[in-house]
Amino acid sequence: MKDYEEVIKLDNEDFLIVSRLNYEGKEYLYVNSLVNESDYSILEEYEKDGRTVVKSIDDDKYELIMNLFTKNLINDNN
Amino acid sequence: MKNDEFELYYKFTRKLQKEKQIRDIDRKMLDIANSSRKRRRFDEQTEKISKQKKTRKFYKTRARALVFIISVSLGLGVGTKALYDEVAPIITVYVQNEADNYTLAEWFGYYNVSDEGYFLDSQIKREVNDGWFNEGPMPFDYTDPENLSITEDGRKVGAIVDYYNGFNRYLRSNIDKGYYETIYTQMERLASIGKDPNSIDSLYTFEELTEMLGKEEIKGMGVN
Repeated sequence: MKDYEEVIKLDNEDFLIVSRLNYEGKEYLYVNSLVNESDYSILEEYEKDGRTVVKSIDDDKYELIMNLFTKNLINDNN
Repeated sequence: MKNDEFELYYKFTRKLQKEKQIRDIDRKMLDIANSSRKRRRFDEQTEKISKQKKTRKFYKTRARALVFIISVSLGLGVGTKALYDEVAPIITVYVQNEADNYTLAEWFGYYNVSDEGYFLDSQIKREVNDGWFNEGPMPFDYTDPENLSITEDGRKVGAIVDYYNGFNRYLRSNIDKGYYETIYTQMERLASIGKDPNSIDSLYTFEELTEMLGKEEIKGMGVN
């Protein structure tokens, strides 16, 4: 078991990286705020000008990615 | 009621409830998903990831988030039916520990649905002293609506809520004195006053029960 959790800072607010998944070569993160636990986001991670950047996914991808996170989670727990 | 008799009743009612249960879970999960979470959107920004030591807060946040992911995903509509072919989700509950203090326990249980019916694949994860202990598979399907219990005056108490009370008794007892018998007795009591012992609406968390009944402490089966 890992001793540490990954936390990403977004708009100066800490978000816990709850889960990661790779889909069609893209890396997605499910993050949950550590300040207000009811806030969450799904981020896409990519490279730009030599930097790793993140941004929220588009609405049209939301449903698909959310379902993939669910299936990953279920597999992890099995 | 002996264990083998209970098992027969259990399997029968479980089959009858399959369709209804799926519909009810769909609705309940969607309610959960819509009631409390807000999706934040962020424009492009440089990734700044740090590693922080695990604390109780991290565990708690992670657990709630994971339950939410399942809830939302199952409530999204498109793709929902396909997911039901594999799983149905369960819930975060508060349980009572040995020191009579309430602690957060996360319980993930899944129904694997096939032509033969439901198969429970579940595990208990319990938070103790800032760590989680996997307590292994449950001896019984506590998410099944047939496993309801009810207090003496007819108030409904979710079987999930009763897990620790019942399981402890089960472990300490011999045959005919275990949790199966206890559950069945509670189901009979429910039916005798005209309630539906198979309603999934009868599953509550301690928090919900506390709010509903206006009491400070809800401890589970037969206790208010």
